[in-house]
Amino acid sequence: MEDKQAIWGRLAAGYFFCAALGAMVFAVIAFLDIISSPLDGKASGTGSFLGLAVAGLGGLLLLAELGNKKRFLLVFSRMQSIMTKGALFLACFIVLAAIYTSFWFDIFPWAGANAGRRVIGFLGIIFAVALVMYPGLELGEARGRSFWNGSALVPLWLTAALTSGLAGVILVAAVTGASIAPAIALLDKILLALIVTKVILIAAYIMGMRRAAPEEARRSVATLLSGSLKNIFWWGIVVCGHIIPCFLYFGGSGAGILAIKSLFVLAGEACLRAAFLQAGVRVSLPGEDNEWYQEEEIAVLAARLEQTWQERAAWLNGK
Amino acid sequence: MAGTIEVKKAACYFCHMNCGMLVHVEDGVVKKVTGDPEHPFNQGAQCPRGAAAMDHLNHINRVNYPLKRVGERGEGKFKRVSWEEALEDIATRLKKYKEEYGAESIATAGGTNRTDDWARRRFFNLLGSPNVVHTSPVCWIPNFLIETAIYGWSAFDPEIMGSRCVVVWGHNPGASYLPEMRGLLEARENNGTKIIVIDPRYSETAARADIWLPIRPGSDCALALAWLNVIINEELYDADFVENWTVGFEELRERVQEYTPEWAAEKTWVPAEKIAMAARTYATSRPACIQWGVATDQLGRATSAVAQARAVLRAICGNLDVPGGDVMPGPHPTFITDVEMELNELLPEEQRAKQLGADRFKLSTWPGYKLLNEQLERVWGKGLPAEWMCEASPPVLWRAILTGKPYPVKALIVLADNPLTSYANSRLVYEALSKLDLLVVMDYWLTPTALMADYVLPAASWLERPVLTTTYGVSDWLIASERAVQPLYERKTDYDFWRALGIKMGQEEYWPWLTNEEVFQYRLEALGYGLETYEDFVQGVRFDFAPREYYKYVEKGFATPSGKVELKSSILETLGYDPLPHYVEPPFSPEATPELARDYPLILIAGGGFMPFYHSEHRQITRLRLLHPQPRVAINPELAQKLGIKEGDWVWIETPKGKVKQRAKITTAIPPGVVQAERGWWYPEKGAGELFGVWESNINACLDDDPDTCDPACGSWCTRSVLCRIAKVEG
Amino acid sequence: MHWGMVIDLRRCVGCHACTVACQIENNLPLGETWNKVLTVGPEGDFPLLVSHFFPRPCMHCEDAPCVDGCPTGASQKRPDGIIIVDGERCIGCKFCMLVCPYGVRQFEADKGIVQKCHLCYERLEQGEMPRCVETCQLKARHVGDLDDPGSEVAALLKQANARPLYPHLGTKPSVYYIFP
Ligand code: SF4
Ligand code: SF4
Ligand code: SF4
Repeated sequence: MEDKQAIWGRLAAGYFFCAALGAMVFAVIAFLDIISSPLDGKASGTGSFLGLAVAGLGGLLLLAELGNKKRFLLVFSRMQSIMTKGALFLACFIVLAAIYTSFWFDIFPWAGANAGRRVIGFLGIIFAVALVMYPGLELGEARGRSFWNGSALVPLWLTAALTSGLAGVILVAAVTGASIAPAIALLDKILLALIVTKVILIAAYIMGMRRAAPEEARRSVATLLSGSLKNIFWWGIVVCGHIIPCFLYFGGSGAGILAIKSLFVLAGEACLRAAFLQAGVRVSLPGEDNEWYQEEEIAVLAARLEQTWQERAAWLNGK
Repeated sequence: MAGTIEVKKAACYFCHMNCGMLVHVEDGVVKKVTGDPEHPFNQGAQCPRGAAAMDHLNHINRVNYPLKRVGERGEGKFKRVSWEEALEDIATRLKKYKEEYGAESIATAGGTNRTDDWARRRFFNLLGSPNVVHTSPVCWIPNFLIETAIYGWSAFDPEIMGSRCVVVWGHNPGASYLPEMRGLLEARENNGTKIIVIDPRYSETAARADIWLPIRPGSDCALALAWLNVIINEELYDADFVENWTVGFEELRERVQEYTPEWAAEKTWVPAEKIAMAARTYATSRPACIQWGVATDQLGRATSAVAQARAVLRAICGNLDVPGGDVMPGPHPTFITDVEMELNELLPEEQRAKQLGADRFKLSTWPGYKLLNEQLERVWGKGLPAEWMCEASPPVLWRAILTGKPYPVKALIVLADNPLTSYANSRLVYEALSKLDLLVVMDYWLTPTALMADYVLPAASWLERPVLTTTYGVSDWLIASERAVQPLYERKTDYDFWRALGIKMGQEEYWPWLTNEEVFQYRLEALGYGLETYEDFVQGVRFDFAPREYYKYVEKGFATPSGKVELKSSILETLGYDPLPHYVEPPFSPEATPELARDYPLILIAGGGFMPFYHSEHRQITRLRLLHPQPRVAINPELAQKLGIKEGDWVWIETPKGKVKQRAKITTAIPPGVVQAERGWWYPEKGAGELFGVWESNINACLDDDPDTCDPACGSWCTRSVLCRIAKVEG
Repeated sequence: MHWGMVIDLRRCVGCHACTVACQIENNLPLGETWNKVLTVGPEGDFPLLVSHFFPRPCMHCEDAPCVDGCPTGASQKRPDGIIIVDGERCIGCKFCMLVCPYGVRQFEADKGIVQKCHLCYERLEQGEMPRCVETCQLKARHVGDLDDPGSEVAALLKQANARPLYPHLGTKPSVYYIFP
């Protein structure tokens, strides 16, 4: 019986987090750009570059998760596969985000606030949204892991991604000194709304799964609330990701406070991805509750025994 | 040889079944081992051990060369020597002990199967020592001998396929003899055969039973007697057979009156109605058979009483030697059986008298053997082999080594056996082994016992030797199998060893056959197939099943003094035992030892086979070990809760003899007052300094083998009803 | 042609021979198991108990989530219904492991690819039984053409209480169990 989902581990969680963060930082900046409510140019340039970089890092994490990295291009082989779709979204997003970012840097001849930038920004937003939506559907395909329900996971992860995007932009603005821009104050309010929405979504998700029929969904919830994931859930998601940021709203809107708040939100987001990913345990096989050893333990034991036999052989039959 | 691919017909020696195996050999290298579809037992199948046979053959920790001890005993320091050097030195020392202390100062311990035991006995008879032991008192022999005393052979060949009811008593073929289990299930599927399982534990087999009788461990005798009571009082027995072919029925009737189902219910924890119902099912579903089960050979002083009651049950229900019943095969009439190879006649009378334990365990030693064989030879023309059926008592042997009483024992040759894990009272065994002047161990592995040896000799396994399956020469069929490859490295078969040592001891004229194949060919010649070599026999004939005859007693009579089934056994009476079925409580139980039960309130079942291991074997076959890495003790949830023990916790199991730890398997398969520990555990991966962890989990370290608690007729010690306490291992 | 397997749980005694034989036949690294055997129960209070064993090869789902999900086409369904992994195409993304509801798929760290039971299709093509079927002492495992009403497996499916594991998941396994 799985006590945690361990097939996709930290790298995958990191990928989901980075992709969502990068995509949404980008999306917020491009959106503000399109609706002509410009941020400080420095903040936008740095922000979209960071969005690109973070998404790129996510891509690298994804690559690192592959068992056979040399063949990674094959991931684009089957358009029917949601994995292929996701990889495509990521690739397109990165290309578009790179082009878009270049518009903010004067070294490129096409730089400047032109229509091209907006068009590319718009296309980029489309792929950014696709990139944050597909993971919910992807996990939802695991029929034996009922905790991952596609139609509930998509809005949650979208909200969460948006939260991290906003936090990311606010963080950039705070660091680049653009935090006084009126847009930021607005973003800060939207962020609060999103945090509250997310609390509701998470609570509803967990309550729903707790009452769900499949045994593994209930096991997932138990793992989160009181099992091996309880620390990351309560401290990481609830306290860091939600309660502390909410409290920080009482601390005014100084750049420092904004930056700290954003960091807490981001930490909470990272925990959310990691916890939800690990919580998706598989439906247990008949009798799996009687199993004593996880597969990894068996592998370790095998290696240890073989090692001992090697040493013993030298002693026993060596000359 | 280059480029040759052969398929050899070998037989697996990883358990008694001797399943047929096809071994694909390429240029003298084993490439693949599969089940032989033509073999009547396994029909092409394998158990996990057989499937992993190549792991065993090629394991890098097999002993490949003779090793001589160079450090202190048990220190684990050896140097490689030649066979010649080893044999020469062993022979010289044996001669010296024989001269100084008499041949009886040299003993030998053997294992279950894997060897040609007659060769060992031949060597020992020629040497002049009667002190040959196996775990025979706790494996098959008590049942075999008691049955033989009562009806002149053991009815150990139950014809399940034709049976209407099979009683599986203290036996779990679902974990030990898989082909047998298949037979059981197929009999039910095809013929509606009823399966009655008697086992304190909800075993693999019990889980498939029609009727499961979960008796208190060790109370088998009470159950058997209550069945007799019901069957006799309700007149469900075979009156014709009883009338014509038995003696002592009236005394039996009288005797069993006290053993009512209500009386038995108290002893067995099984409701009286259920006992009676099962008895009726058994008695009225004829033909029926009762399978042999090893558990009832391990009840200490209650052992032969169970066998006796059960033998009588079979007889009065008219199941003896009928189709679908308990068939008594008798010896194979023509080929040369084990007993004919043993040269027992060469062991002088005064040496026989010295057999350790013969003064008290009379049925399983020379006194009983002689009485039985007289009858058997008269009726069947052949008797039982002395190997297994006529042996010194292991507990008495260990004590003789330790105390020098009744005489000194100086040397022990151990083959296919690991006494530190396979005999009760392991600490005592350890002390005995430590005290020997010469310990020779022939084995596949450096076992804890081998670690203590002066010489460790490399043994060939079944892929490296031919196997002649003859059930020690007590059944009417044989199966011949060949070697897949010649022994690797300097491994030898046990036959090669005894022959070589025999020659060094001046026995040359008795060992004319150079190889296993030659001697097997010699034994088979009389079958009259006219084949040149043993290999021809394997390829062309392989199976020889004498035409099955039933009701053999009609012509021959039973091989007992009266020629009938002796419900009141004159042989047992002559030997000084109760001739009629009677109740004996096992030596350790709340009833037998209430003071002990105050401190050790739980009943321990020490043993029971489980896959994928066989006895103490296979712990170093990584692939198998991964299926079952650690020992488990079964504990009922109620008891576990009371003691604060959780699934997988390490748990101390403690008796007055010692304590070991195993991991808790919390299961309702056993009742709250009982725990069951696994047998045979040692850890080949642990250090030689700690004797490969032999004291950690080896349940035999918790068992007592005090001869006073052993079976008076056969010397069986008690493993299936022991008093213990358990506690969570802290820290 | 639709290869399928019927496993008779009334017969299986949980000996693990199939597990071991499969490992050897397919030369699996130590510790990797394609055919797991689980112990179910005993359930109930002593002595009113039930228990059985549960061998689990690949279910060779007709509607196989692993094939659906595979981004490279390494996981594929053969025309005869057998689901295989083309080790040469697998990139080791492990998505198939995630979506297989039966925990069948194994990651081979040294090769960086996913592998699993392939119903011994090469043996089947040569007219041999899968190794696990051949090795079962209890004859609990049967293999055959589910499309052929005259096959042994079809007959078994008709006469007994046979069903696949977790049919509600919609995977339509080709492995059926006869429950005790
Ligand atoms: S080999 Fe047969 S009996 Fe043994 S575990 Fe496998 S299916 Fe069950
Ligand atoms: S059982 Fe799993 S691996 Fe096998 S076909 Fe179904 S989803 Fe794929
Ligand atoms: S069909 Fe072949 S690959 Fe699949 S479990 Fe059986 S032996 Fe293994």
